[in-house]
Amino acid sequence: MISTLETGYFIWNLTAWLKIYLLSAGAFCLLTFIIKKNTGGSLVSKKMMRGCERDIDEGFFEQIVSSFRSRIMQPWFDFPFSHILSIVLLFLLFAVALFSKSGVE
Amino acid sequence: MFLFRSLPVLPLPVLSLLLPLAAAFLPLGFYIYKRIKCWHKYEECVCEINLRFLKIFFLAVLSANLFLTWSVWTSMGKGGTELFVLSSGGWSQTLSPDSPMLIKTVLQVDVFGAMSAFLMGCIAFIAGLTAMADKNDTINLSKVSFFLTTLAGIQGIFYSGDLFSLFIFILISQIGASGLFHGILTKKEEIKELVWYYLSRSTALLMFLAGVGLFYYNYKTTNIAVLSTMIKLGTNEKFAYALLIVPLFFMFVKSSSYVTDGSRRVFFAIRAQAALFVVFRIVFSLYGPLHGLEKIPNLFIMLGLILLVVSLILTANEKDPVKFAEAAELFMKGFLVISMGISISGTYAAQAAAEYGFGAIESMVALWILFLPVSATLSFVCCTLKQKTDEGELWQQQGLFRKIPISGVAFFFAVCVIAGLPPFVGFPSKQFLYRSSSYITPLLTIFLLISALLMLLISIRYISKVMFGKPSESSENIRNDDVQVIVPLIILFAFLFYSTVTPSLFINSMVSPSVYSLLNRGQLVNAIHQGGASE
Repeated sequence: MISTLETGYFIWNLTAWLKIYLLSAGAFCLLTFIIKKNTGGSLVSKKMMRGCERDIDEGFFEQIVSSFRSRIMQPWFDFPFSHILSIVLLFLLFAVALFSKSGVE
Repeated sequence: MFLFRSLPVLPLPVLSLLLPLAAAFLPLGFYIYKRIKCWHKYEECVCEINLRFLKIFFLAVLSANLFLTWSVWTSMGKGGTELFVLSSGGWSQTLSPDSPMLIKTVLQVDVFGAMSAFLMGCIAFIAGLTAMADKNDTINLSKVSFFLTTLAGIQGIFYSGDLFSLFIFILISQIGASGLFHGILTKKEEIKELVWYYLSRSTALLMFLAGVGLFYYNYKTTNIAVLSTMIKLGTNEKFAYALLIVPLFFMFVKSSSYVTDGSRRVFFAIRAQAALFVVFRIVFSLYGPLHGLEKIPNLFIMLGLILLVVSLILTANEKDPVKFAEAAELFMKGFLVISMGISISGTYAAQAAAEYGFGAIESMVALWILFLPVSATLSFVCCTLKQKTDEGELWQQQGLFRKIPISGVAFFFAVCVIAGLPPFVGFPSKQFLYRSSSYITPLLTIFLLISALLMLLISIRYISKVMFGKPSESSENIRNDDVQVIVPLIILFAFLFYSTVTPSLFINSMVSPSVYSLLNRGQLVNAIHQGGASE
């Protein structure tokens, strides 16, 4: 059995990679098994799924990201002049980086 | 008469440049002729043409372009530059020092440009095939014309070694891209709606032209290679730097608007790649490691980090596949910009170059090459998911893997390449970047690794949500499948798979010669002295 694959730039140790993938898959399966055992056959507990017909309920972090995106970022993207504003902002950033003397020895 | 006499001995790059340009004007000319005729007769214009003939014509032009760009690339030496000079005596490969006034035009092609043109030719061919197979939005005269105009403009960008000609070709590609975005404008209301779009694009083009003008005013030339040997960084040159880089950087980041047509999205991606190509030319070939630009690498790294964070925020919990594809492309762009920042930083000193600079540039070029095939794959898959069904759109169903298995596999492959998961082809370029970024600060490496992992998790979750799960009863009736994009996806998959199993071929034949070509700043001057091609 060929255990290494040489491609000129990389030497892949196939056995080692196979072990890593199998170990990862094993750990993943074990985790899934433990979760399923605790939740009674479902990956997500029924408490979390309450009220959701199809989608999994958004976590706390996802809710923050979603609200940040919709309340803070989206209004800026929706401005008709956002492209011009981006160009001006980029130009200012480059001007500062090119002309500012601070930090240069 | 002179033009006709020079036709039989046209060099391949010139032919490759003229072919799509001439082909773009044919359908556009026919369309304009028809409109004028209708306008003259006060009739409503119906521009009908035999669809089979149009498809054959389009396919023939794209195939010829692919063959020509391939021929140009394979005929180039490793890392060399070739000149093609048109003077009164016809085309030659040497400049005539005694009679410069007789020179009508000079074309300068290097390996990086030739390889880029071939790559773009391949992807344009694939996008063309998809456009022809699209039954929902049938191909027509104006669409073919705008496709070819964009192609011609971008081809010119890859074959240009002159700032002013770059401006002309950027303008041509912008005309094509604007046409692809909204078609031909006929009503005042449409123009009013797009006034901000046109204003931003005009501002970008005018800024670039102002930068070119500054160089011409100071040095009386706009040739990049000649300028690179003369340039001294003063206030004007600094202004020119910002004026040249900012519009192209903007075009790279905001290359497309929300479009659900896969082939159009691919052409926008080609344009984004071409915009970054111009940035590479200006940053590495024109300015190089001049004193006074020490803060620029940090700026690029900061902009790249912003792009990464924004892309992660946009992908998290995104449901629309086209928006998801846009955000995933933004992620690739973030990595590219960071690699560019580290590459510039690595060229300032010999020690830095030896330690991490060269690796960072290889990473940058490899990421740049992969951007287009991966972006094209994402576009085709995500636009397939946007297909209309009886209950809305395809992506709103579950368990789609049984309906669109090829799209599912291609999507997974593209995501693994984007995240740099070994052993997929994205891994070599990413690992070069991880190694180089650790020389800047290990925190950057950790951030890059975490963001790649997050991207992988978010994307896998998105794929599993759409492709797997229990199909609903209504999804059993879905007729849409990925037949329309089957050939393009298989070709793209073959490229990604082939470069995955043979990374040495990918790096040795595409990446390394391009890096050498990008960094060898005095090639044109050497070519002039040697009277032709230089190695």
